Amino acid sequence: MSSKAPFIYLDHIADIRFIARGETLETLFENAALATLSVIADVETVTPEIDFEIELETVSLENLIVDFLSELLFLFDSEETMIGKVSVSEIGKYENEDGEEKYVVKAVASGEPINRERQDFKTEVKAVTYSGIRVDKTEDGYETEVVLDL
Amino acid sequence: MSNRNYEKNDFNSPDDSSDVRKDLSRVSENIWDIPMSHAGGMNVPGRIFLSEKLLGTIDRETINQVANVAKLPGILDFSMAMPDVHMGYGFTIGGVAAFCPEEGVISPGGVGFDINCGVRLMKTNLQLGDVEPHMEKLTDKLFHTIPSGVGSKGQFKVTDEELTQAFLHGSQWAVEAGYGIESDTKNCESYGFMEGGNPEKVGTKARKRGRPQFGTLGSGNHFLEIQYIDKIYDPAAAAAYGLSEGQVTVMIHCGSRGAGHQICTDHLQNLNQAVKKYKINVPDMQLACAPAQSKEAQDYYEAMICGANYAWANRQIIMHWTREVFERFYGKDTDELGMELLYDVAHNVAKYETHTVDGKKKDVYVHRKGATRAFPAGHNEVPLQYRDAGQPVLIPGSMGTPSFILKGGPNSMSLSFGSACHGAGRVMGRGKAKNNMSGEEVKKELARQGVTVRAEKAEVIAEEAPSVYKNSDDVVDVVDRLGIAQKVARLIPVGVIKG
Repeated sequence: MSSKAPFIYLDHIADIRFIARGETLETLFENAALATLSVIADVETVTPEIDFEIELETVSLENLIVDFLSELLFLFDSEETMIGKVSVSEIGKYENEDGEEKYVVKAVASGEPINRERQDFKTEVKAVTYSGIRVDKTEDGYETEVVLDL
Repeated sequence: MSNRNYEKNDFNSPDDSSDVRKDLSRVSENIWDIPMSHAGGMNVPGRIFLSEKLLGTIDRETINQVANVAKLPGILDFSMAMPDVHMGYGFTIGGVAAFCPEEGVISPGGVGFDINCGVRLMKTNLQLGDVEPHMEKLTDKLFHTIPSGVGSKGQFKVTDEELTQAFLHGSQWAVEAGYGIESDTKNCESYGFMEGGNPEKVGTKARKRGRPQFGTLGSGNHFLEIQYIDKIYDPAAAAAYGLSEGQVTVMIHCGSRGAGHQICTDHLQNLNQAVKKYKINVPDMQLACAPAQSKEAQDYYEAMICGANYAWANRQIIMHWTREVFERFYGKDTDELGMELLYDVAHNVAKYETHTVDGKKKDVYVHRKGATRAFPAGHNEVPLQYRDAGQPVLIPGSMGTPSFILKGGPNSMSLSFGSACHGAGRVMGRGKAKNNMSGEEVKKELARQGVTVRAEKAEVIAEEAPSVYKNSDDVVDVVDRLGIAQKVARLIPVGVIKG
């Protein structure tokens, strides 16, 4: 994989597997979002005119990225909005009162109402799976591997 | 009777077809086991129902996934896989696993995100000659009536109360709401709904995703297909099912849409925590599970039933609209056109069923992930009208290849927890399919074979081309020879609507 490529797709017999990377966790999450959204449609065709604030919390980075990407699929169906741009402002970690580690993502997802004439749709993503999920620290940042159920 | 030569697609081996034979031990002609020595922590061996011919369609990752399921607590007999098996996420696609309710688990991974993805087949009294000249027009009308493809919305939005009723009563709700006729629920697995659904276990998000999507096919491998019967293998069963050569049928393949996907997503979050709480060692996070009697597992199971019922209602509504298109096109009503449901089967679901384990009757949780129920003649869950023949088992082919109607066979209960294969099974990934061929070329080739295809996107046609699947004939031959499910009739496609 080129050190510049924000994400690449790897073949999977039934579904889609991708590797995304970023210098920071925030860019990693943004690039994973783009990798997911680009399976559904050409994100370049989407005008980011409606914003949705996303704030999620869970127990590990792996869980956090699955929850975060799942949220984008939820917005697609429930708000009938194609997201074209995602800005992640914070990936944080803290310890709660019970001494449990918590990971947090804060982001804004922007898009426009689904319009099948305008947006170049490709295929539906049913869900984000936990299969073989990983979020790793690399020499020059972070890398994640995700399988999407199509 | 067919004067059509459908072409058998060339065989495509997956990338990693390096010798898997050494991972398998052959038990009989069509049974191969994965011994417990394959990987540490296996509680039972793996078992793949497979012919020599299909051996090359199996890669090591698939075998490892079958072995991973064998590591789950309380799994009974074998972690099984059907001849259409291929790599999935967590469980394989084509997997069957039964768990003891006392020591075993329930795992959403064994059902999948598309809860009760399944197939129904509607009969007509039309003959091939009645539809063939009109295929362009008929597929056009169906394509414009039944929402399909990415971002498609249903023709209506149900109210919250209607959604609750659909979660509880599936097809029965849809028929009572006017989308069908009384006989539809009689001719359906478990009469069109599973009992025990609890809409309170379905989150707000799943409700929001499900509301606008009733009556939509979705995209990917989902389809609506007009077919005709070109071959009858078992005249007695065909008579019991009301099937004859030349008869036109309509097959609908889809699932629970966003509602089911979100139910699975939400409960996987809980079960991912439950594995820590109950100290279950899972080899892949997608195999997250909880002890079958635990609150976490039962919450998922009750929500899963709601998802399954949503899917049955969805297929019911799509069939209703299909009937309306045919009624308008032919100027005759449903009765006059003989548009009766033959059967509807789930191929992604977990069910609490009675089986014989170690010589004793036992209630167990059977997970079928890309596998179909195949109950034999005489089983009390086979609808009365089919009980002497056995349960109809519906096996869709890929776009250009035949589909099959089978009947549950005498050996299904002893060999495979009453289960059979669910389709052809992929051998090529979508990305590779798109790189190897264009949708337009595949569409032309199918037209040459007499199959009219309508799809929102040409790419979908390439992704779902016949050559990315195993031959459905080879797959069906394995379950037929094993006596798990036996061939009754073959269906040849003439018109396909893809999402």
